[in-house]
Amino acid sequence: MKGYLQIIKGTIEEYATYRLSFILWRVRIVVQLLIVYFMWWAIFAEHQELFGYTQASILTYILLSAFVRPFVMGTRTQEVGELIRSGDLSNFLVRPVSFLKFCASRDIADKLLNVIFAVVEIVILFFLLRPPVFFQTDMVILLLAGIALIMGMIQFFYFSLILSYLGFWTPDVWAPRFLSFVLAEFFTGVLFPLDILPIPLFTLSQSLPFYYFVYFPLKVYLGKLSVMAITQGFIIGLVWLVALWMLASVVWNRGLRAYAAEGK
Amino acid sequence: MESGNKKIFISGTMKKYLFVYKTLLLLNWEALVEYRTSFFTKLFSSMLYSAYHVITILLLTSTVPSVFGWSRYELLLLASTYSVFIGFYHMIISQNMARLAEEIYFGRLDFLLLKPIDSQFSATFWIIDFISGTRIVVGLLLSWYFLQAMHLGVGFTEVVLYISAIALGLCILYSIWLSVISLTIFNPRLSNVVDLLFHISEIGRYPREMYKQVSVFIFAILIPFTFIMIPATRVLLHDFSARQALEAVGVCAVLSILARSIWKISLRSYTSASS
Repeated sequence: MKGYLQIIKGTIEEYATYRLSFILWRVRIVVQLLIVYFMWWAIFAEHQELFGYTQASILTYILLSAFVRPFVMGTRTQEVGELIRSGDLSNFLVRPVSFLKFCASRDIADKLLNVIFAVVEIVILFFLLRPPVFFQTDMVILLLAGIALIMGMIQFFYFSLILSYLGFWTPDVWAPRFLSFVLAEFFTGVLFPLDILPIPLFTLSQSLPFYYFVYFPLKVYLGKLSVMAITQGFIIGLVWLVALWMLASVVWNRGLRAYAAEGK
Repeated sequence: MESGNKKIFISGTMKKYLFVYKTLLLLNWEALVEYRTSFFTKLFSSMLYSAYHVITILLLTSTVPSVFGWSRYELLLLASTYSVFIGFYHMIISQNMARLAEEIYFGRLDFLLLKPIDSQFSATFWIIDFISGTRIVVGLLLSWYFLQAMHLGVGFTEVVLYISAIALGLCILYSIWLSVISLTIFNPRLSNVVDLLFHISEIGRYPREMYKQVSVFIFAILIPFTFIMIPATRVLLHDFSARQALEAVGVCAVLSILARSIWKISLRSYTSASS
């Protein structure tokens, strides 16, 4: 445990060394958020209600998705593909550490820093833009939204890890990762709430794991889901979590058999 | 006699650069098709990505007749024109800019500066990303479809103006990128500013009117980005005036001169510290 805490500390120190890079990364995130925010602001400028959302609820959704996104989708697992390709993975295999826990520790550090910055940025943006946002006060709903968030975070961790494990079989994991992230960007609901999609697409999205990364926790927070829908969401989300965890284990074990430590 | 010699010199220099570019095209193509699986995956990803933004606009505007004073089809045309524009930009320029930032960071710019060609040319045109060509094709097909849906014809004049507007936009965006990346010579740690530039460039995807709610100061910074895309779309919509053309040419000229000057000044400060 102490070792993994050191990994978290080391990762944070790594970011602190390259402060400027990290700050530029955050500026990029803010720009991205502002583009989406102003787009929605403009769409709602002439309408009281659209797609079943008021301006307040949609802007709350967009601002919250900016907070939830780094928490769920902030990851360092993209480095795993390069570790495999370069043969540097061998360094981890001979050490008395679990590679999975190592990756999880790096991710925790990444999420921690990104979330701290996201909170500060959102507070600043809140005071600058003064958007009409909705605050959830029901503690039960807040608790459920928190659990949904952690579920989405673990799901995404395994999802991203599986994509990086493709490095065992192909030297270029960029393209499959990019392709998957384009799909994920669309179906996670970071740009827009998924229920504005046409019904067949929305139904399809509910059967995908991406639905549980960002959209589901946010809908729970907004109190827009019935008890039945929340229960159903948690059940399907848990099924996806177990499926992704099992798939990651299978791919890792098979990958290790294919791993030749090329480059070392 | 002297002017004749000058003409021969210019035509000789042009020929030299055309030959260099032709060779670069061939080399880049060979490098791309060497890894076939990767080639096809990248091709598919690029096609999906270009359709993705248009689909997003299609969905967002499904229940509203107009946004920021732009009708639904006009916004879709803007999105597809963005695909054409950014396809060209990524194919010809952006990868080179990313490489330039990296070369500065690792102190390897010497390799680029020592070549017997103009340093700005080799910094700008070395890599050609043919895969991004798919975004151009998808964007053009979608633009053509949206124009048909709006019953708008496109004649020879519109085609020439459209190409010119795209070229102007490329020049504006390139000038901004080159100016910013040149400044990393003074502080190489800023090398990941390229990531930021990739995202800021997306500002051009939406109409200028969208950003009018931000403060005057921020809006003034964003203005050049709004010039990269709108003229080309306005040409297709038959809504392009001489004044808009002059504005775009003016912005392009000023930024190009500025970028070249910043590049030259920055090079004087390059110390090759890491190599």
